[in-house]
Amino acid sequence: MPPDGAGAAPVLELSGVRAAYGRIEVLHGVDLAVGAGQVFALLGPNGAGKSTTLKVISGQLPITGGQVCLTGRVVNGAVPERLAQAGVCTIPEGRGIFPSLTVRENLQMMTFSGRPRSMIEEQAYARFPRLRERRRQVAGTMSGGEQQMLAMARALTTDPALLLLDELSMGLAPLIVDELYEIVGQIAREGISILVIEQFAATVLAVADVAGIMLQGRVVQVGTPDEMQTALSGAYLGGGG
Amino acid sequence: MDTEIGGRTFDDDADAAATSAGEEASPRMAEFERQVAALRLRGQSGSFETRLLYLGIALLGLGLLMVGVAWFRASDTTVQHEQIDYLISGGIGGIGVTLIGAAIYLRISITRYLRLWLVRLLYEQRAQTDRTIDALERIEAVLRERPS
Repeated sequence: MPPDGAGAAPVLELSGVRAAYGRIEVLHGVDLAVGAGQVFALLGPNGAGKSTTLKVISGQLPITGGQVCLTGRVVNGAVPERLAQAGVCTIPEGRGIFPSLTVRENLQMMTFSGRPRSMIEEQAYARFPRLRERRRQVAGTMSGGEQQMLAMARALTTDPALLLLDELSMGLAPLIVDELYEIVGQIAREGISILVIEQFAATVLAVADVAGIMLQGRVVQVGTPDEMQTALSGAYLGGGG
Repeated sequence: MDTEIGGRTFDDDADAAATSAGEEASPRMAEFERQVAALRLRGQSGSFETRLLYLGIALLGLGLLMVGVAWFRASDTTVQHEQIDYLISGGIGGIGVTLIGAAIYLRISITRYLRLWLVRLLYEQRAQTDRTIDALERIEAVLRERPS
């Protein structure tokens, strides 16, 4: 299991985080911590507040209480673009790509970060060889898995320190999901911390170092993937914690 | 030890070695720490854009107020040079402040509208692409099933 940097502050730490859409509070005090190079799998049913948690971490939704800390510093109120520049990278639910552009053009969009296109393409194709074959194809006409690969390739060109993955497996075939999570495991082994949220646990627990169950706006249980595997079925079947 | 995921095998020893590499990759983490430390944080009172919008509205109101006050003060006196003073400072100045406020308000409002419009356009385009792909897949399926 990758270390979380014993003694060092976690890369990401949420303490008692509360957030609301208008008057409706959806996060009621979320606590979690992700160490360096760790994969934290946040699991829970639809409507538990998982995506909202990612929005809070990436600065897209202001918090109404608690603290969001990155490497020990409280970053409440940081704007999304600054967080992204620092190295907090979100791959949103579905596809974070431009469907009407080709694969190359999608990658070219990442040159805003100042990196030359050749370097971005080389990095993307080295990790996802299939994208090289598809480089002239319009992204929207690729399979769901390939689109997700493109989204990941685009994200990784930003040299993230913390990667936030929202429902990577949504709408994809199990074999493709396995392949994508294998890549997630490789990314984590390179020292990138990853917070991945999923509704379905089977594959993500195999690559996760720590897992948590989220229900009704709270992380109700955190433990090893094995512990969570057992706890999860109970939680989904109506257990409150 | 190997871990199996959906038919694929992960080599845990290789993972451990790679983890060491991850630990050596701490310069990125140090850089991340430095960048996080340099992050400028805003208050929870809203974005710069929202504050600018409120400023525009306030200037609009202030300008109109200046025009009103100038009109009342000018109508209160029969001294012509005082009336001209009120006309210049309150009337013209007030209209200027109103125009600046209106310009700021319009600029922010139009930006917000265009942003929403752009997002809507992207969403529609994506939905359209999905529909086209879906239709193509259905046609392909029908063609495959048709005896040649």
